[in-house]
Amino acid sequence: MTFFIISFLATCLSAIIEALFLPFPLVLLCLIFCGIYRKSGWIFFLALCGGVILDTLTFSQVGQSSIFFIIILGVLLLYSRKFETNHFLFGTLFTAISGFGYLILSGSQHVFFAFLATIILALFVFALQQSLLPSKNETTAHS
Amino acid sequence: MRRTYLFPSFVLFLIFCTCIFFVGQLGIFHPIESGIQQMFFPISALFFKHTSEKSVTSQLEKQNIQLTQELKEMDSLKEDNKALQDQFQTLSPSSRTLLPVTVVGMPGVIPNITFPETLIVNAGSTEGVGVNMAVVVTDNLIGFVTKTTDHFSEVTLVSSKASSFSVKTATTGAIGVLKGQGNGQMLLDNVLLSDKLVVNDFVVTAGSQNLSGNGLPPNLIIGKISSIEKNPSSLFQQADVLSLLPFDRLSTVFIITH
Repeated sequence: MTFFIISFLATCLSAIIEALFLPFPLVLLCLIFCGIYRKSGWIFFLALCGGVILDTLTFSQVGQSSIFFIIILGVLLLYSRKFETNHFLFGTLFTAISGFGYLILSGSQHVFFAFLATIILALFVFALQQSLLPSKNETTAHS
Repeated sequence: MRRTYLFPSFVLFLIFCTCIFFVGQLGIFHPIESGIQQMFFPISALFFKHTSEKSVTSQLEKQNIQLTQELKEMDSLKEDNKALQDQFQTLSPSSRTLLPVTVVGMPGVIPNITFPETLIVNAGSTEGVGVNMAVVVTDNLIGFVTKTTDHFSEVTLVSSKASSFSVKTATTGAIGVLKGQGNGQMLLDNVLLSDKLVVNDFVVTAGSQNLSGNGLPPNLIIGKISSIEKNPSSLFQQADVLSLLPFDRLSTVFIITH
């Protein structure tokens, strides 16, 4: 429950920062982090909320970002057995590829610059996560 | 197994978001959107107000001196025009109402690194703002309203790649199309080779108002010609236009409402 509240607040804060100050896919990074750290169904709810706030503050059609986030998280969670998700390079690479796709689809002005910044941020976040926070799966994938 | 509920959750939320996407186009979520915007836009307004106050004032003062000289020349032309109007009993244009608004956001901008394409201002349909209304600072055109919600509006800058409208030069009267190039740059295009372009000449709007009064009023200043590209083998000549105002430093602008 505590992690859900923290994740919810972090997602909302990421949406505000991304919409108003820094045009990097911070919400996507936050959601992928939560999806890797806790493989649980309520991550989709975070994707819905983060996408709605982001679309509202950027004057985009409400729902379009949420659809993209949910699809990305669906790929991540439903195919997690096929990926080595606990390694920090996976998180970085997955964030980079999905972030690049999001920047292209959302019509970002400075795709290359934002893409580089996303990679650096993701590398830092997932390296920190791997060293400080062990991943807690709520599934029975590993026995 | 807990894993089995992931796929139903994924499908459920995907369907729900798709429904929100299509239903949202009917405008049903406007009250929710307004509530979210009213909660968070004032935060960014404080940030932009702090960074933009100083530079706009000094630059406006310099331009004011220069424009005063041009206004003196315009006054004599106005007297002639008034005499002609009195003679032919033409109707005067309807009065313009200026609505002062504050810039509360510049989506997609990294301060001092990237340039804005749009502005978010704190006035919407409730305050009488409509799509295609001109946004100005003094008599300088900044952009035009492209989207509105109840209490906020999105303004597309004249330098945006999505911006394109008819203009004319102040001195020579050459007519062309002003096309935004992004990054604060503008191009005056589609000017006939037979028309004369002069460096440092002012570029003003030609006027594109419809019967409702919406659109760009004429003679709003857009910028000055900085360089001219004239190739005899081409059909048209082009010119680069520099804005007189720093679009990324604006804090207060005015919407021309009708």
